[in-house]
Amino acid sequence: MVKDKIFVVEDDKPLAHLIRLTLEREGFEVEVFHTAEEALKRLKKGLPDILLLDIMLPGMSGLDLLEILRSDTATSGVKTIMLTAKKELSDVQRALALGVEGYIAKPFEKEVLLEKIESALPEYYVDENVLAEIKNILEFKPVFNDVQELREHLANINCAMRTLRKGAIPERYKEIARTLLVKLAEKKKEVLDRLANE
Amino acid sequence: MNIDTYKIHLFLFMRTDEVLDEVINVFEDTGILIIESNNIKKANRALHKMVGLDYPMLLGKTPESIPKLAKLIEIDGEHIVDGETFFIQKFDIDSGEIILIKNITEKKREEVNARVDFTTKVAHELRTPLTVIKGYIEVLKEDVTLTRDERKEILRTIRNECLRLERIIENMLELARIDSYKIKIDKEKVTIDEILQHVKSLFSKRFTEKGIELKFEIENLEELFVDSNLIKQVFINLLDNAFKFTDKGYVKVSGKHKGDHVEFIIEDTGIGIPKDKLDKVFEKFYRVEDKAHTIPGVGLGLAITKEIIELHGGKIWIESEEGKGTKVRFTLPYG
Repeated sequence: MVKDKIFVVEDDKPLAHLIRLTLEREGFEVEVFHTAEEALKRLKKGLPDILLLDIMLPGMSGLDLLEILRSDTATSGVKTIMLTAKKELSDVQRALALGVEGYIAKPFEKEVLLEKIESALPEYYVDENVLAEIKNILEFKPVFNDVQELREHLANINCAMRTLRKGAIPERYKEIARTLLVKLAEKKKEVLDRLANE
Repeated sequence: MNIDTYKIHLFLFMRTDEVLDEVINVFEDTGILIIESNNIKKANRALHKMVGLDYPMLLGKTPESIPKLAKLIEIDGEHIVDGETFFIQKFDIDSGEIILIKNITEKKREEVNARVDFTTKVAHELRTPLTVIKGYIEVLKEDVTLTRDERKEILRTIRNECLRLERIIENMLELARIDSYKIKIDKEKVTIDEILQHVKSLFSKRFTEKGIELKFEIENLEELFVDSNLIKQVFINLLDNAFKFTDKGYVKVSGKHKGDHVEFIIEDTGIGIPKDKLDKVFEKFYRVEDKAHTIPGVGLGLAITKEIIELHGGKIWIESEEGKGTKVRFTLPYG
């Protein structure tokens, strides 16, 4: 099971950090950029599954970056969600014309962010290997005082749950997938409860 | 917009026809109408243009017989007529009435646009820290895996974002306060030394600690007639900027007598401002890119400074060279 990769382009450092923290806990792999120029350099070397892009950036704006990405076949396909405090119609129209998956207005709720990302993610093909991996996650026993390991475990659970919710699952695995999803949810609750009690 | 009553009386002194014709036609954007015994005695070119008639076709007619004029002369003050905003003033004279009509539609539109623009910018400035505060509170609430140090770090970030909001709000209140000063400004006679002593005491320690020299070169100046609190604010804002954007060298404040006004220069050896950004630095919430994110501030200081100086009848402008430093000059009239 591969973690979905998200690039975040946001000039406000505390906000960028918060988004990174939130998404990593949810089992995403995150890279943060504070300017469009930095992001462009990185994007030329490889694309993420989702690009979270702020509009108002110092120097090149988010929309300018989007235009450059769309004009190059190597980068034109990157799925993009705009992140902005400006709800100006002209910006929305320009973004829509350039093709974006969604639009998130600041201040946003964590749920909205996750929802938009999840619905924009490409479908992931769930085969027996993936199901086996998820079973491994369920059986994994983290050391409870190792924060790092615990976090990794929770992130994996979140990632597995998303894969089952979002993924393309062949008919014959549907029942197994449903059971696994229930078990994962229980496991997540158990981990969180135990942690809260410690 | 207002033509004072005394000017109207001046009009009346000049009532030889040729002079009056010439004078009323000086006003290109104010329609002027003189009515005597319900007949149009005089009407300037601007008024003819407003009602769509060739000059001087209005003369001798009754104002009621001109449809557009009939509506306008019925009102007084600011009114919207057929989708356009007019400002109308009426003055009685012995033999009749003088009416001044000004179309202020464009000016009104600009005012509204500026207000909308400002509100949008304010909302944007407030939203980002709010997002961060809300988000981190949720993390604190939900993420049970946070270590003690991480919690501390998050609380510190929340506190910083609160301070950022506080600064924005304080600056906005300051702007509002200056707006109210436009109605009444509290001027008194004050020496420049008095003002600078206060400012010096606020800054000298900070400058010494950062290793930047703070110099004053002030000529023997006459007393100023200003609102001393506001002028102190000007020096504080400008020195604060110079301090923030200068890492080595000096900051120099100089003051020179120049005829009917005094000119001050605040010069620094800091990072400077790119040429293409110079005319923007006085805009509200404008911050020069790149630097904006490493140096705290909300981008209202120079806007406030400019308003204070203009309120005193002075001017402010900036010269700067990137990498070399910045010179802010401003003038204050003695009067």
